[in-house]
Amino acid sequence: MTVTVTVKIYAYVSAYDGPREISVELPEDVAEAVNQLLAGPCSKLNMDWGSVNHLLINGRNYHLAVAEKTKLKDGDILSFVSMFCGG
Amino acid sequence: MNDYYGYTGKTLTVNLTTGTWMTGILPQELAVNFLGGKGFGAQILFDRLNSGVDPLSQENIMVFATGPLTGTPAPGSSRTVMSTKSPLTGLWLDSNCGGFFGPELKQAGFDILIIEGRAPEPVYILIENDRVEIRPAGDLWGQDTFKITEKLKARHGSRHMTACIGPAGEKMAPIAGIVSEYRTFARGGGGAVMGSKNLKAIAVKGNKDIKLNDPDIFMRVLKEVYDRLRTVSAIGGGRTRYGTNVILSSVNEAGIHPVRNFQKAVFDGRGRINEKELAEKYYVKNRACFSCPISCSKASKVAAGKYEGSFNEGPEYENVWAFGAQCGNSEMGAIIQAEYLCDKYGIDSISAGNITGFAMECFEKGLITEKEIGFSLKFGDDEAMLKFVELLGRREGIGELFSNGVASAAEEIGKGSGYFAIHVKGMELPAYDPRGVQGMGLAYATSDRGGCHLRAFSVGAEVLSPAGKMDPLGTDKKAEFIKNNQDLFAVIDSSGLCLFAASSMSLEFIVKLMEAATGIKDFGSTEEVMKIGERVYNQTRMFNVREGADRRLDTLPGRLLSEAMPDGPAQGHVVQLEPMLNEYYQLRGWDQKGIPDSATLERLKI
Repeated sequence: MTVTVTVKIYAYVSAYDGPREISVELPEDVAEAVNQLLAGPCSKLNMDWGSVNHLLINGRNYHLAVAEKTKLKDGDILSFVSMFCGG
Repeated sequence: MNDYYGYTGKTLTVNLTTGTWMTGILPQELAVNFLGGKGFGAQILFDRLNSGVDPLSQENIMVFATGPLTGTPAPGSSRTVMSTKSPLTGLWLDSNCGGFFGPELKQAGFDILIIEGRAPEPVYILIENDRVEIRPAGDLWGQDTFKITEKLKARHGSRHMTACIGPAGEKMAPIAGIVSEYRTFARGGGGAVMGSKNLKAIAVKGNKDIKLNDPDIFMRVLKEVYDRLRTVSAIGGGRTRYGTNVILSSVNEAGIHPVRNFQKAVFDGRGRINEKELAEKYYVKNRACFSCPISCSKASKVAAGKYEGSFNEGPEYENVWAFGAQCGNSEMGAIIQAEYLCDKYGIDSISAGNITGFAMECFEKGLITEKEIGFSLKFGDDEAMLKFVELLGRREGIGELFSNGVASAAEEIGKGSGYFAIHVKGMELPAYDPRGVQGMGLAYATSDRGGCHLRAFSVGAEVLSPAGKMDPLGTDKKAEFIKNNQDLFAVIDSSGLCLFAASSMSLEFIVKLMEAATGIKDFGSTEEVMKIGERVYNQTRMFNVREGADRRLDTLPGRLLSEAMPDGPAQGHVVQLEPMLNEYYQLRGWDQKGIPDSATLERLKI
C-alpha cells in the first residue's frame, strides 16, 4: 500500500539546487519509504554524512519512527533538516 | 612554569576608585587548574567577592579573561569571557564574546583584565601594550555604542579594539550588555555593572607575539583540524551561507520554536521568515571573527518596504526568534531594525525579545494597559514592538520596569503573570521550547547563569537522535548528557575557542592544540581537561550556593512545567523536570538540595 507524503528539504545542504518541497508517493513502511526516497527523488541528498540522521517524520526523528514501527499516512511530512548546533 | 606559552603570563588590574592600575603574574596553579576564560573568572570571583555583594556596588568586580588558545591561529580563537556577579540574577555570570577584543588584549600582553571599584566621573580605559590610561569620558557619556566605537577609533586608530556600553548600561538596566566591534557580551547585565562603575568603554591595541610552546606540532595539528572541518562542509557550508539561521526552519519543523511567549511552538509566520529568504533578500555581507573559517555572522540590509534602509550585523537565529515568533511578528525588516536598536542602546537581544513577548501577553490579558504603555502592544504588531524595544533601550516609561527583566516585572505586575514569565533564575529563556526537547529543560534549570542554551545544548542530540539513542520527549539518558555537555562547554569557554568552531573539530583536537600551545601535559588529555571543566562548573555552582541558591532555583517557569504543548510533535507534553534533576544531582555528586558534597569538592580540589 502506498501513501502520498510531502518531502521538505531545508537549508542544511547549501549546495543542493533541487526543489525544496515535493509531493511523492511512497510505501507506508517508513524504512522502505526512505530507502526508495533516497534512491529516487532525493538521491542527491544521500551524502556520506548520512541523510537519515537529518530526517524528521512529522517532526519526530526517523530512527525513533523506525523503532516505533510507525506507518506513514497520506499527508505526512518528511523533512530533511539541518544540524542543530545552536544559534 | 617560568616561561608562559599560549598564555602571556600577565594580568592587569585597574582600580577605578583610586584611578590606578597594576600588572601581575598569572599564577601557575590558576592556569593549570582552571585553564582560562570562564575558569579564570570562576576562581577569581569566588576568591575575591564576599557573598551578598550588591552587583551594582563598587565592591563587585569584572574579570575579562582570555584562554590559552585566544589569539592563536586555531580556528574560532576569538573568545573572551567577562565574569561578574549579575544584576539580573544576583548570581554567577559569565558572558562570552567573539570578534577581536580578546586577541587584541592578549597581543597587548595580558591574559586577564580585572576591573575594580567605581570611578567618580565617567571614564574609559585605554590599553596600548604596557601603557595603560584611565581617561575622562564625559564627552562620550550618553552616546550609543555605534557612535562610541566610531569615536574611539577616530581618536586612537581603527586597529584599536573596543568594548563599550550604550545608554542602557549607563542607566544600569539589568539587561544591558557590553558591545564589542558589533558583537556583544550580551547576557546577564554586564553592561549595567560597567555602567555602575562609570566605565563607558575599554579600547585596546597590542602588537606582541603570542608564543607557542611547539609551533611545529601546533601547525601540524591545525592542518588536521582544517582537513576535518572540510569534511564537515555540510555544517560549515550551511552556516557560512545561512549564518546561525541555518537551523531556523528545522527548529520550527521539530516543534520547538517558541511562539507568542511560549504559548505554542510551531510558527505560522515561518513562510515569510526563513533562512532562504534571509540569505537571498537581506544578507549583504559575511563577517568573521578573529581566525574564523566559518563566518557565521552576516550583515543585513532591508532593500524595500517600510523598513527600507535598516541595516545591522545579524540578525542571528536567536534574534529572528526573539523579535519574530516570540512576538508573533513575521515582518523581517522589523526584526533587523529591532536587533539594530538592541545593539545601539546596548541591550541583550534575547532578553529584550523575550521581555517584549511577555509584555505583549500581559497587555493582551489586560494586566497592563495602553495608558501605562503609551500605545497598544498586541502580538504581531511590528511597529509597537519596535517602540517597546526603544523604551527598553532608553529605560524610559514602562521600559524602566521591563528592563529589569521578566522575573522582576512579573513580581511588580502580579496578577499571576509570574506563571508565564519565561525565565530561569531571573534570566530570560532563549529560542528552544523544552517541552519538545526535555533535555533542554534540565539544561536551562541547571545552567549556572540562568536561562541559557549555551551551558549545555542537547537539541541536536535529542531531535536528530543518531541511531535512536535519545527520544526528545523522554527523560532517559538526559541527565548524563547534560552533565557531560556542561563540563565540555566549560572547557571550551575556558579555552578561548568559539563553541561553533570547537564543536566542529571535537575535543580530541582541542586538547592537542592546547598542549602544543602551552606545553602543559595535562592539557593533552581529554580526561584531565574534562575534569577541569567539571571543576569550573562546580566552582560556579559553589559561587551560587554561597549566594543562597539551591534546588529551589533549579526549576522552570510554571507554563513549561504544567501547560501541555498545544501543537506540533510535542503536543500534550510538559517538561518532566524532577526525575532528570534527581539523576543529574546524583551524577554530579551533589546532594538532593543541589549542594556539591564534600567528596565531590575534595575530588575536584575545590
